Amino acid sequence: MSSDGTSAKVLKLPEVLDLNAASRLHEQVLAHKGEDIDIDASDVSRVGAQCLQVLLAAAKSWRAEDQNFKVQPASDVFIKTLQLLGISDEALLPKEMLK
Amino acid sequence: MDMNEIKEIFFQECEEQLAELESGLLRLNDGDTDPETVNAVFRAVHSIKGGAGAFGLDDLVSFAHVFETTLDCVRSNKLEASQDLLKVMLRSADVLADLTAASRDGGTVESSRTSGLVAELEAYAKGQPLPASAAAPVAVAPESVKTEAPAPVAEAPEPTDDSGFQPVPFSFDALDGEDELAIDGGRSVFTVRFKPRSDLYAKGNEAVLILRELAKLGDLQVRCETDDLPSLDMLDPEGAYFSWLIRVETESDEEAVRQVFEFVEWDSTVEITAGADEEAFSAPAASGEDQPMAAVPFDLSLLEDEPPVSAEAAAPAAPAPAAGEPALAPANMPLAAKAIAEAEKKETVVPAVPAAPQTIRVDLDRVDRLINLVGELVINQAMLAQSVVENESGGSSAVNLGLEELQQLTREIQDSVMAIRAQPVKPVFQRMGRIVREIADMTGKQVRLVTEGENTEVDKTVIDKIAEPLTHMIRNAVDHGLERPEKRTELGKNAEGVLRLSAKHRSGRIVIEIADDGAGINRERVKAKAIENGLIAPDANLSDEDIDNLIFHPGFSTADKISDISGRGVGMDVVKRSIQALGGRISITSKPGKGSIFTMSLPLTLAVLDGMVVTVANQTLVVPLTAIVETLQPEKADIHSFGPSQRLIAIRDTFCPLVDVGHILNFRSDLANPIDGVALLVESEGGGQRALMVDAIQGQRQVVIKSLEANYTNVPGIAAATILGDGRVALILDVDAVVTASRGQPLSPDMMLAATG
Repeated sequence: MSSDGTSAKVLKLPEVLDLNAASRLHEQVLAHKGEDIDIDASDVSRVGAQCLQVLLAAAKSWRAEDQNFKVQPASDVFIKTLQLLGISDEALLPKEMLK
Repeated sequence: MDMNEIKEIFFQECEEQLAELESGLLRLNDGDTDPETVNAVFRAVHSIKGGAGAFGLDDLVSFAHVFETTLDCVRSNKLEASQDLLKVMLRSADVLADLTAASRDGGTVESSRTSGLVAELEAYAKGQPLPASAAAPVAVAPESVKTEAPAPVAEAPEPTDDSGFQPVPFSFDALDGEDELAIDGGRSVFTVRFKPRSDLYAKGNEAVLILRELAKLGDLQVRCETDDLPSLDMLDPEGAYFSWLIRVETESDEEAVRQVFEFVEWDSTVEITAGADEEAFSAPAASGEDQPMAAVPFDLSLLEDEPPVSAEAAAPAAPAPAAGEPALAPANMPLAAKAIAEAEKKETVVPAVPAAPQTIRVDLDRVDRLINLVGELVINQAMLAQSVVENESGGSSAVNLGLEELQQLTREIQDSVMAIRAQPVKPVFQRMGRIVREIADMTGKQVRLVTEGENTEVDKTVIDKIAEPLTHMIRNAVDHGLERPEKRTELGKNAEGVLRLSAKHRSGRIVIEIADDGAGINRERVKAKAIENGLIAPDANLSDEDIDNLIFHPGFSTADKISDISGRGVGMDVVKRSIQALGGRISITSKPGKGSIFTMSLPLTLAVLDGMVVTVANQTLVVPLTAIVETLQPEKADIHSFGPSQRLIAIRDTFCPLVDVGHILNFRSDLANPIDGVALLVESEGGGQRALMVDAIQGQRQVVIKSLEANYTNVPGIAAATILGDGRVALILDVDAVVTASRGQPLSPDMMLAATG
């Protein structure tokens, strides 16, 4: 996936992505539908499974529509949580972490 | 209901199962070949194992499993229930009981006992019984019984598969898994399938935290199943779509893994199986790199348990472009089917248990309160009846009728309530069977225990308290009473000694007898020993009975050498004391060469009794009706003097000693004239009849026993007290004590001695 990054909108994720944040995140992501998007997860210090569900569903939708969706940059916590949960979707994990 | 309560119930059930197990084994031992008996025995062990598994009592589980395996061989007729095998099994039942007790109260069971039996049982199951001596070294080391519980399990021969038996008694998969538990350098591998429901998140739980918790246990390999995830528009942000397949490699046991999910088990589907599910992981790993989103093929791995079905089911699903939904159905269905299949398997495991009467467990305190209240009710009813009689003016028949009905009802209530507390002595007697076996083993004697009257019912409190003195007496009987087999043969007796334990109701008391056919009391030795210990003067002239009773003296032991079993110098006097504390008596009759009989008679405490209310020297006494054979009006011609103070009464063709109750109890110093009174012919514990002389009979009444010991102190000749309808206290006569006293010895000294122990 790849290429640009310059033209894409950036969605900055809040620090805490617990279950209370899931609905809001869902709305925010939906609002950007149809355009390339970069998710900035660098501030994330806590993330729950439900928010990841939203992000993963979004990644799939974007891919189905051939739009760019990628998470970059991402905090350690964010990456570690993804790994812990066994989610290996490359759209969510910054490329260099995929090994 | 917290875990401890549940556990407590489990242990209570264990006790029942153990009793069932033992009685079943004993029946088999006696030649019972009914397959249902074998089944019952099997079920008992099986249930204990199942429950123990649920509580993580590994020692218990592993031992029960081996036991069960051998039993299963017997059940399927692969193995004959020989005497030798039954001996091993009876000992195994004992160990199982010990393990249960150890699990409940802490403490440990000697590992050598467990491991030796495990080896023996396994050998039997394999069809090659070991000689008992060879068994020990083969055994699993004690520590390993705990950590490597599955080891003996794995080696155990395959039980009959056609019976559908799998060691999966509980709804948990715990035991199921253990059979295949992969042990890899002390680390086990579990496969966890975890699917939260949205409730889990709604309640503030978080899958991430649970996985993190799980990660603390060991190494995880996690795969997230994302197929349920709908498209973004359809997504409920607070729904639960992810599920996980996790491979845990840990040093902890399954219980620890399960505990991680403890708080979320109601809001998620958690399935923990032992062993690796390698295919489940290898499949996605391979395809995962090139096609991260190709979720469908992943699911094939889930179905690896049933490859043919899943392959077919998944094949058409794979090409489906929309990743999730179509594939979902086939993916989940086999899982569900598997779950159902498992459930069915579990159901077939436990054969239909014969319908047992339904029971509930009730706190004993509640029953006690009820009994006390009923006691008050009875007294109150008696008072009411009395005041109605006193105020009787015109004879209102309605009141009398109502009163009569009330009386009947009260009586019925009383009987029912008493029946709640009354329990057969069977469980205590069963325990004695074990003690006899153990001691017989230790002393090398052959003993057969015969029990009689096991269903004699007695108050629960009495049952609880007789176990200890009974144990002591049984030990004594085997250790000191019975001779060694060689000696018995020499004497022309059967090499196998017989110990007879019987219970019966007699005169409103329960009488328990322990009779052995051993050597009897060696009176010369007893006397010599007593002189040596300074208990009696060297020149004392004692009757045989007196000598026999010396063994109840504190600090007296007849055994030449002190054995482990009994005879530490705290022998029968302790027994006597504890029986007296119960308001009971103990006596001994012994015939040299023929054996001894210990008889203890205990009150049915708290009981209500039917009594005859009599007057003696202006005192009101109650004589238990059960003791009275008949009443008669003595005639002058029937009375015969005998010696200075003894009198006999002729009843039909026999003479019977006449006992003046008032004199015995020191109500009056001189003997009353028999012609003025009434004679009550009573049967005493010894079996003899006596005519008790009282002044007058007031009537027959049901009275509530109020313990004198508890409220005042033990009074010789008086069993207890009661409250009459007019509110006065009446004493209940201890018929046996009075009869004993009438044999010459005055009442007090002997009894006082007894009371002070």
